[in-house]
Amino acid sequence: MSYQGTLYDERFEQGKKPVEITVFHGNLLIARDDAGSFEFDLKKAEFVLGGFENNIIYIYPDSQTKTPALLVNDLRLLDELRASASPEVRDKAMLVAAGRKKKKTARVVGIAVIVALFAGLILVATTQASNLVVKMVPTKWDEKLGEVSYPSAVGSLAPGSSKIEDKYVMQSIAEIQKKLTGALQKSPFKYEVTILKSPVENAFALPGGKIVVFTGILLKVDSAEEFAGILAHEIMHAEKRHAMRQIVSRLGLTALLQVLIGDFASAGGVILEVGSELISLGYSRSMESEADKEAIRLLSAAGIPADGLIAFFQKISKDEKGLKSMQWLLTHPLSEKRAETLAEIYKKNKPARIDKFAINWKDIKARLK
Amino acid sequence: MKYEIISKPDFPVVKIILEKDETVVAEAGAMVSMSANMEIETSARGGVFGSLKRMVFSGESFFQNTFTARGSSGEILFAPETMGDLQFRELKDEALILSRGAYVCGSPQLKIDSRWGGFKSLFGGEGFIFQKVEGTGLLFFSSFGAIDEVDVKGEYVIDNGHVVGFEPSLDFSIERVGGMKSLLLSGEGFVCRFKGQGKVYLQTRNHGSFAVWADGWRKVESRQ
Repeated sequence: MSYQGTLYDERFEQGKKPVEITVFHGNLLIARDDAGSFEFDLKKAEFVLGGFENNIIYIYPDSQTKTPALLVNDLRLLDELRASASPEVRDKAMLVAAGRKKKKTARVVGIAVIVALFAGLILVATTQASNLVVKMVPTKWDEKLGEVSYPSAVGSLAPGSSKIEDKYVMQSIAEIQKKLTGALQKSPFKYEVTILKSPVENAFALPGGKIVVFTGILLKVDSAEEFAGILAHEIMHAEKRHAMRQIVSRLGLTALLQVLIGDFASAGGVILEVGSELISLGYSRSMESEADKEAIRLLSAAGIPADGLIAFFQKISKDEKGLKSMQWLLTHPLSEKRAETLAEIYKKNKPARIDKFAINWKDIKARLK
Repeated sequence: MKYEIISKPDFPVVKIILEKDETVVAEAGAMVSMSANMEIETSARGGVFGSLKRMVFSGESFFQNTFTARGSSGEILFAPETMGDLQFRELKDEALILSRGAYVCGSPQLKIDSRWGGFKSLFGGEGFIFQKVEGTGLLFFSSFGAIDEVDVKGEYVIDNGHVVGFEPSLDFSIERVGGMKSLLLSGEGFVCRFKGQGKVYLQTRNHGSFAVWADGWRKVESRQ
């Protein structure tokens, strides 16, 4: 097989000449177009990989002066040398081939890093922008959105479920709620907890302060403190305006711009239109852990030990192992790990004083059955 | 296709004479004047993605214009964006690597693609993407200031803002000149060390230095 190359030599008029190269008895036979051919002793020659795209083999017979220089831009020459040449030449050829592989990998890694950096920047920029927009959206919109999406949210989870009106139950729930909301600092929302009779083991917060709890989950709870933990978690979803954040970030740039330039009327229409659908998609994992963290703080501020919430998670994680999946798990990613993380946070946020609830949860359970 | 570079060297313009139905491709905005029978077609050559790549990474325009002499021969003149020389090179089944924004016009047979210059080129002052012009045809590219050719034999060092283009048989690495002190105080900063055998085109002026110099004359509103 023959290869095309260029021989650079100061003795040539133009400084270089095209040549044809063949491998002959482990050496290179170089033929010039203007007659004359000669051999390169490869044993003494230096092999270097070069060129902008690392696809050129430089062969210097004299590694000191680097002249003359033979350039071959056909990497198949390396393969042939590896197969037929003497061991020394073979080693040199393999070294060059390995160097090329390394450079290629470095290039791929480089491009990947740059792409990841750009993607990261865009992500940070959009998150920042949507947080800014959420701050500009009036809290009245959260309330409106909560009202509008209430029927579809309940309808999709537990259609036809009735409200619990039992006085003892509702008074106890109100007591827990009051303690929690009383510990909130300047909340823009009025919280309203609705208990619905349904085997659905779930609870959710709508934007603006509406919280819905199904009796299914209340029957899993064993103390007022446990329930206070769940309630605190849901309150923090509303307080941190997670639904609005979710909507704004998914609505994209158009809605963001409408809010930023003050065109609230059209932005509001869009948000109400698609908002209730988006709420059903649930919150992101980072929002869930934020709600967890903030819930612990709220519990401590209210003088309620967060052991209840942690105990509840541990209890459920056992269900998780038994594959008896509970609906709250589907919307609230949960595991022992989460309970552990919460215990860590709790260690740093112990309540200064503890107010025990005078509520007998067994009574509540009996009335709900 | 015949050509003549007129008004050399300060503010050159290339005058291209096209035979009937011959075509030339140019950067958007490069045309200065032309015969009335020239037909212009504007297209995103290389497809939308290719054009985007060219625009974002190599500092060229998204659209490129194709001029064709219809009915008879005709002439057309192109000029580069900045004050500087125009260089001509006939490519014969070979390639040339150009810095960001250097391409002006050329034969439609030439393939222009963007090439990532590696991490090193982030400090290169030439943008980190180069253009690879490949094929057989005439190529015109521009510089800032005059253009000089250097035949590299082994190694050669050029200030990072002065590289216009080079043959792909060469590779370069970015280096500091001297120690930290020279990096900060010598005004040289980083340089490109070319390795291998081949031609480098360098420009006798540097965009970056010119911008710094011109900035001193910028009118600044005083704050009261």
